[in-house]
Amino acid sequence: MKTRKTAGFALVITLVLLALLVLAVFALSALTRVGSGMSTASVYQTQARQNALLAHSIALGELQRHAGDDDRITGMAGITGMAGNPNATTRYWCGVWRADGSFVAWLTSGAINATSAGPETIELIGQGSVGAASSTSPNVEKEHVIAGKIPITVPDSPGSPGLPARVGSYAYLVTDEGIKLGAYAPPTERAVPAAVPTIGSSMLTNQLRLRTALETNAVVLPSLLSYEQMGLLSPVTPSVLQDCFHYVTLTPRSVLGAQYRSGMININTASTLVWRSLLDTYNTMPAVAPVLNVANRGNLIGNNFASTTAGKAANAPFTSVVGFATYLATIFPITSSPSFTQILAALGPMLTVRSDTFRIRAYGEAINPADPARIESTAYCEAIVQRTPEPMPGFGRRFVITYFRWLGPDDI
Amino acid sequence: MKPASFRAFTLLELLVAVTVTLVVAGLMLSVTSGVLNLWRRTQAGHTQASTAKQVLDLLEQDLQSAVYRRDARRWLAAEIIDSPAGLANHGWLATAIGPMRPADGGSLLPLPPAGVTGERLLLSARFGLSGLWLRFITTNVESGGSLPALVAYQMIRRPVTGDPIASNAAPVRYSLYRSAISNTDTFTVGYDVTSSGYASTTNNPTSANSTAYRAARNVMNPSQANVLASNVVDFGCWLYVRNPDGTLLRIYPTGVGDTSHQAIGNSLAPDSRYPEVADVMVRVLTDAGATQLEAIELGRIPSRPPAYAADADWWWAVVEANSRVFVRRIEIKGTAP
Repeated sequence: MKTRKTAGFALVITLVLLALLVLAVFALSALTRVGSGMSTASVYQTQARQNALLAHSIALGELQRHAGDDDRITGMAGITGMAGNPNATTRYWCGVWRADGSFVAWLTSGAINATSAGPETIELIGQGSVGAASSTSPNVEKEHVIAGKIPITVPDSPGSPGLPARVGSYAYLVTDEGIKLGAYAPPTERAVPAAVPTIGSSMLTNQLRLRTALETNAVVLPSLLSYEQMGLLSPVTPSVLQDCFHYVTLTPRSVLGAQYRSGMININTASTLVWRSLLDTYNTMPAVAPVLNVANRGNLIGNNFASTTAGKAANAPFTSVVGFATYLATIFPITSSPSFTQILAALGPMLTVRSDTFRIRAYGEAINPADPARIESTAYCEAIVQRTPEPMPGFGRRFVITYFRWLGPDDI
Repeated sequence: MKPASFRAFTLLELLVAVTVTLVVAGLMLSVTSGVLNLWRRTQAGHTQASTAKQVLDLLEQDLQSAVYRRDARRWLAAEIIDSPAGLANHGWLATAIGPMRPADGGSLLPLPPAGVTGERLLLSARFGLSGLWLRFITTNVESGGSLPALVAYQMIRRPVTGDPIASNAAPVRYSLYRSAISNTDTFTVGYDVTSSGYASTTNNPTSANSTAYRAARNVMNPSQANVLASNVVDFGCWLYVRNPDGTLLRIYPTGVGDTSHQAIGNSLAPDSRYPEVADVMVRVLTDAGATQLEAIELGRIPSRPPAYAADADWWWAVVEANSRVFVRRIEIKGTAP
């Protein structure tokens, strides 16, 4: 009986020791798993950022390739006949045309035509930039803007040896900043010293709030580094910036010969509010016969822009300001007051048919190759790029990044 | 005769049993101790690498987004403060009972001598008493909108909490601080990172619980809430611009004892140009090394080992034996129109 008890005690001791051993191994393995999990998450984050930078580099390359030459035309996709509505998610794409008006490319990843970016898309201008798209009306354009996701695959992965595996995606979007009104035009660079295209009195409540802020804070405008920084000026609120995103930018610059010019605007826009502001700008110039009923006239110019064949082909951009004069004559005939010649005499030097300032938004995501449906990490970045007078052999003039930032979820 | 089950052990049996037990226990102790040491070393290496990655990732994000314009303002400044007096109001504990990080040239080697291959290595650089105090304007990613802000990085020796000169101070550590000033203060005070508006007039940092961790004074004297990584015992960078052929021209440091680079927006002179590329280094100490260093600095190890000719040699020998250096090349994306 006693012998059996002793043997039992040894068994208990052995089991306890084994249990302790298993516990120790389990604890070590759990610690290792946590460490490994943290490392993996960090790797995915790095991959997503690298993919976003890849998208950004491709966008800059495409911009340089297609819009580097002096004789290229740029404009928004809305001029091809797309009406503004909450679902027009490609209306603010940037297109490039040749000097003869023939189409070259949409500067958006995955773009198949003016209205499609392929089966997989992502919003690169969304709620944080323009607010809810559903508030779009004929007067306030708040369309979200999409780009196509381009898959990144590797020939094989540990999970699927010998088979291609998707490890991530990228997307990019280039928008035309030259079709927008500038918030600040450095006086020494102005095309017309006496006036620049500015937010006009026929704009709506939030645009007028921004105009008030710009007027009352004129002294600090040279210190602004980005459009979003205008949110620091009183009485600008986030919704004000959102309502102005498609109409206003900080400082668009044009390249004329070897010089920068500010206070110019690309006329290849179907934005009615921009046209209303241009007519308002005309009305502020000295000794001009004023345009009456600016809102109606501005809406007319914007709404008929795509379909008109006066001075251009239908659903295509103007390739010169002279061509635009033909269209303007249909609204302000030579017999009217003011006539199109009077308007162009005042505004002509600030009008152009291409832009040299663009905004690039780029997106990258990292995917677990073992589960392609699972996005492990995402990253967004943005750059304002400027065409410079400096030549780039074979590609026109060189584009440079003048402002780069990583974006958080609230910035998209 | 008693039955076998009631017989006692003989002395020989007991001796053999005890010897075998001791040998087995000794072996187990040795194996366990070896495994634990390996585990500790691995963990320490992992912690160092994680710390460095965290620092370098954030620095990369900040430097990639750095911004400047062509004017007379100083948009970026990199400065070594190599005397305790110069660190007044930085929240530094610049005195110690024992030897501390050497000042007055003892750690000043931002551009180390060339090695046998003829190359100068950032890995071997030492950035003075303070490490590099790096300040620039960038876009700080934050909820509610990412806007331009002044961001400052500096290494500081101070108690992990409280006043640096408190009589009963918390454990003292070298840590790296990152102060991201609020976008409104940056806009108000301006983009000249050397402006007196970003100076601190006291040496006492605000506590980790204070909300004042994004104030202008945090550029010079970070709050305890601004700590980015502990056990960072050196921090610095080399700055470059690109030559027309694409090669890099180093603009900081330009000499062995170069302590400062202030990048002026419209300058074309190498010693004040805005950089296009930065090589960044961070030296991270292990926890065990930090404890050992604290013991030396608090005078708990009263006399310097005879192998070292000077306290500076001793301090650096301990640091080099217990730390790793991590470097990364970062491209500044933006330029001024």
